[in-house]
Amino acid sequence: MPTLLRQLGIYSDKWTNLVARIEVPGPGPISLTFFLPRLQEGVAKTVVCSLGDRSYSVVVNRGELNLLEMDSTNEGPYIVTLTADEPEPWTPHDQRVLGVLVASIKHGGEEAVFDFENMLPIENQSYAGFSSKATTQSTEEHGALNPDFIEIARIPAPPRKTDVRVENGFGIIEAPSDLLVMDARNHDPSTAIVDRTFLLCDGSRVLSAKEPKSLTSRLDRLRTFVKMSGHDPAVKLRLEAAAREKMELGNYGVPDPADLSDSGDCALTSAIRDIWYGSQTSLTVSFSELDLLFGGRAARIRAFQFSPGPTSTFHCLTDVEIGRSGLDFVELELVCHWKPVLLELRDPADFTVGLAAILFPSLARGGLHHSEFVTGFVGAFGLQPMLSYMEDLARAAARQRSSVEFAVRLDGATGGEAIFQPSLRDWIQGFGHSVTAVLSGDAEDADILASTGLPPSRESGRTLMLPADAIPTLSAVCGVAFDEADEGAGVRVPSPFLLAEVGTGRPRWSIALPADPLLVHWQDHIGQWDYPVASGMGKPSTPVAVRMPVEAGADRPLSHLCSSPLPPVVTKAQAERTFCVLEVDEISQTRRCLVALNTQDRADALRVLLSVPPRLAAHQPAFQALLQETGVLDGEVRVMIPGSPPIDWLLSASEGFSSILLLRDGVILHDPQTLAVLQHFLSEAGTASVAPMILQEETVHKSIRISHAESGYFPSRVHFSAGPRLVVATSPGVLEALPVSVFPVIANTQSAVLIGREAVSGSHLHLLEPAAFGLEATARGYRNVCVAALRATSVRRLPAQEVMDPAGTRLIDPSAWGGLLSGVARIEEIR
Amino acid sequence: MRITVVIPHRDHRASPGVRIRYDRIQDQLSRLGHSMDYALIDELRASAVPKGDIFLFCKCQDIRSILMAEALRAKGKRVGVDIFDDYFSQTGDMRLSHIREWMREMIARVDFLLCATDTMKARLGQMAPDLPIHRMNDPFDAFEPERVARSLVERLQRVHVTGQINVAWFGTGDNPYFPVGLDDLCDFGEVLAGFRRRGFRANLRVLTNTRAMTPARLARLGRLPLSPMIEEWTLEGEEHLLSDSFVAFLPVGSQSFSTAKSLNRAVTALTRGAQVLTVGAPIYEALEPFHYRTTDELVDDVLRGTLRLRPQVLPSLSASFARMSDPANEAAELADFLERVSPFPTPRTLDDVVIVLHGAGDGAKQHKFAQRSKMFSVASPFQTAPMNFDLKFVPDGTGEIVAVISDRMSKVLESEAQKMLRPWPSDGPITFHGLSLGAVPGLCLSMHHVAEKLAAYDLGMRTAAAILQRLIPDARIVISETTAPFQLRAPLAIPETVDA
Repeated sequence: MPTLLRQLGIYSDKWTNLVARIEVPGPGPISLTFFLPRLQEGVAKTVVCSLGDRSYSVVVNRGELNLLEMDSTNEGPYIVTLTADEPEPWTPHDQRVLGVLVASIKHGGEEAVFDFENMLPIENQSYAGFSSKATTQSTEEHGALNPDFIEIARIPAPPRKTDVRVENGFGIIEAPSDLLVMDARNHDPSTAIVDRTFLLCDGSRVLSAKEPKSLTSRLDRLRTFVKMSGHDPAVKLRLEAAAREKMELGNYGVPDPADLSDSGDCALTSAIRDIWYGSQTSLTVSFSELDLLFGGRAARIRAFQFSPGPTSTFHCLTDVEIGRSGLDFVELELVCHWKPVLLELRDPADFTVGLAAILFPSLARGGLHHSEFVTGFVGAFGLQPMLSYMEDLARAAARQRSSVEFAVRLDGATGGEAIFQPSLRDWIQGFGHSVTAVLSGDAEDADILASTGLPPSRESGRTLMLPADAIPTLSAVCGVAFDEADEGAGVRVPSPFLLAEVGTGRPRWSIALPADPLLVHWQDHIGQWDYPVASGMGKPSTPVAVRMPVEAGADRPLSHLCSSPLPPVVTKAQAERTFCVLEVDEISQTRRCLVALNTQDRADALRVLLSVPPRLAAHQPAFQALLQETGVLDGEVRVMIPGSPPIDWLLSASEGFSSILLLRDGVILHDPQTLAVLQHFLSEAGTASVAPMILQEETVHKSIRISHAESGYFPSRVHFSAGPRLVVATSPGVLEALPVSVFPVIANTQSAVLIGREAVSGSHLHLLEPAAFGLEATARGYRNVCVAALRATSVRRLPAQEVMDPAGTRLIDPSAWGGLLSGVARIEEIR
Repeated sequence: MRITVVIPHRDHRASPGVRIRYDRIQDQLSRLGHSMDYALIDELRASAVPKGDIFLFCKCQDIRSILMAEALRAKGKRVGVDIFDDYFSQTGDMRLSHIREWMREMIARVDFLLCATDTMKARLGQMAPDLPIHRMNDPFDAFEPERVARSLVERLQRVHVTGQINVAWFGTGDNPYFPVGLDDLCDFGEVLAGFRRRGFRANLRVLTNTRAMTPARLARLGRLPLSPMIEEWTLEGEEHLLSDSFVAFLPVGSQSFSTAKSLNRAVTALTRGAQVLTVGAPIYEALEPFHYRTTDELVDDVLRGTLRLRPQVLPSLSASFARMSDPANEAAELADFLERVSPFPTPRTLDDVVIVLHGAGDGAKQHKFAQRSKMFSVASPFQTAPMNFDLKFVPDGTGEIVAVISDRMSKVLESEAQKMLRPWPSDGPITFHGLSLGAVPGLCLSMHHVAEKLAAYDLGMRTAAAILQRLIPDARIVISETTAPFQLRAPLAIPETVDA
């Protein structure tokens, strides 16, 4: 058989056709004989036999044996079809009658006889012997022709006909494939013989096709999947040689052998409607319009994933029927939150018709990187933007040449944060990066190192320092966020990051600080960190980390009043004299402010001017007495119009002082270090104003509520009606997003702010209106700083503020806004 | 020896700490000829020291225990503190300032310290290098190896037959300062998916206190791979749960607070025949051969049929328990240790006059204790509770301050001050006197807001203390502060002089 008949298959589609596909080892005449059972009495069918471009009719009658002889100069494959010459399909009865049991092929002097019933070649038997036996049996033993086989006459070589060809309506594509051998005797439509080629991943059969070609066309997609799973495709992927197996077809009959290949892959990818996490480990993938792919017939979905860790194995997550009875989703119990998931769609014959990869499942809703997608693709509709983002990331990862050290700060860590989970570290290492620990010097470090097994930080050239409750974003891991070049080795800059809810990954804030090493230097002084710091990687352009802080003891509002104690401030200059203007509203409030001012460490270097509004002018003596009562050594009272003080007046009044403290009534500087810390940051060259974070204390139903009020102005939006106008606003997110940071803002509010006198003297403004002054100072090359770790509290309600066009386009040209915005902190709420 | 455990209030009598550490050794101590009883601190007074040899303070972390410890010592009793939780290592955490302050004061006034783990002992040793410290392990409740053996066999069989693994988590689910308990379960809960990967079904039951079941936590718990069934903790419920579960899941964070915790939950689980699966900080190393670190290890053993906690190893487990949590053993070692603790060599005579100066936090219990103990209870300007303080500062309406002094306290004032007293109207049975102090810049009254109290705290407390010292020169002033972040910037020094 192997020398003569390479492949012989019979295929029947809806019982209208019988197709044989024959391959022989060389050219030459070939004689093909089919033994067909007898037709129904009195029924004659015309059968068209076609071979290549030749076809001839054979009338099949009762008792006849069909015979074909062909002469060809090719070795085949020959496709022989026997087609009913009538429009209606043959009845099962006919088919039963016409079913081929045995075929004999003669070629090059050899004969091979093949038993279709048992799917075996028949050794040592010739057609002649077979047929004579059959005939003998049928006439002698049964009195009537044995219905199983009938000998029919030989027909002469058919004439050439050029206008008949094999029609694709048979379901055969031009390239030879798709022949199924059926159990002819039983005519059982539920089984078939199929040829298969498999693609193996890590030893498991993943894809199945009739032809290796349709598998190799998917190799790129599979290579990406394996590579993003942290493995070497050359090691993991193998093609398995063709195998033949008998299979059950199920109720849908013989499947359509259309091999969709790439179009099937695209169809599957676009059929994915949505993906989301139902729990930490359970990913649901829902499909739409799957039934259109198969005309209502059932298909199967399989999903695969590599498990995490050094002993990573390939797992089949599910193998279910889909597309029938409305079920159009699969729930996958992932073995890893991070590694890619491969989806395979199989037709009822169990051939792969579609392949799709979810390369970064953590981007899905409920996954820990979802906030990254939401931030980058605001208003995206449907799943396709997410899937194409995943493709972009994979391409970037493949191009990545340099590795990053993700150094995790251990201060404040519990050891249970996501970054310490072995699966995440393993996945990051799969990209060539490393995860290390930056010791904080606390005794706890040893415990965390012991329980997590992280190596200490090497502080190699390219390092991203992360807070313990953060994970790197996909753009950081895939190298999208950073420049490849080792820029500015050793220079550390803040990096943009996202804040999300712990556990659910639901996004809250997107935070970006200017990539200025000075901020990191300031933060070194504070000693605590809110944001990631990049070193040796240029200026990150997209968020590099997602923080998910646990709000422990959130029901203790008083803890907001002071973050951990700031390190003592060592001043540069001794005699830093500050001129304080306290804008009065009501005497009891003023008393509070003065008491607090007097407890400042630098109270002796302070001159206090109480700015009393005209409506309280009559109470000047009371305010004078108040100054004495509260122990203010150097103070005066003056009646002034409330609001921003005139700059001319301010400059002359503060002659001899280096800084001006503007304070509103009701704002209490309860940290005795406030003035010292503000002066410390103001002394940095180029700083126009410094302010603490202002909290708000309210009593609600007899309980105290502390909430964030102000931390300076942030860019809010731009109005375009009647000329472009920049709108700035106070941001509520600072307490959650940057609670211990020092960062530049567009302008500080006037509730409590220390302003450098020099910065004021250069101003062209008439009134020291805070937003305008801040913007104008920025235009002149200054910065305005907020020290969030330093807290002051207002006992008066401070509503959220928004100021439109504070400086006017006269002061800052809109074309300069880009530079302005990149120089200040930006906090955006993500919904 | 008569040992008295002093607890903060009646509810504590039923708390896990008391139940585990003291109830379980009570009988054993009696067998050794000692006795252990309980006293509520609110029923004690420094002026009438109760009978007993050893007084062990448990969880009374405020001025009451400090003053009581002094009084006991003055009468030759031996005094110690049982430290359950590490609230002291976090020196940068402002929320715990009052607890650290209490510890600092208490160390100077006790003869010994007690704790439950070596880790804690090491940390306490650094804080109090001169004090004897005893590690008393949390004793187990009851260990019946034969009953446990039968149950172990049954449970393994059930797993094989049903293909289902019952997982339990139990204990206190929250802490006011740290993310522990249920937060640890949420952080590490993903490992429980490992059972399903190996072909077993698994379910999770959680038994915890109601206070821990906040909406945020419940939302996080709902996302675990095994969606848990959560019930309120009771003692019977815990016994039931552990007897019914196949494995107890004990995740542990690595914060200093968590790594000092005792082994009692693992011991409890093992004594009830539940396998122990622990992840995170390796605090259960002492139970090395009896617990699991990964679900795969556990499933491998289930398939093999030989679990780490199995009938054959129960004798060896008993031996381990004998070393580290046998009530008889622990009682004996404790008694031995206490007998060797010598009382403070020369009992210090207490000052005649002690003034408790209350800060901003709630001080009702401390006030009652002080007055009951014949001390004076004084409200600083930050203390606004309407109680009958022996002295409080009130405005007289003209910008000056009057000290309103109880009759009892007025009798011990310095003579010059006594002369300046005048009657003060009162609507109760106690007689008060008024003493004009003039305008005192450091004392701000009528502060409503926390922020202003914070700002004025240091100066205000020092000024009040200085005034009191001036009024009663040989008084000893102690500060009682129960709320963070109120804290003096430095301990009260020798009083400065204040103009009358």
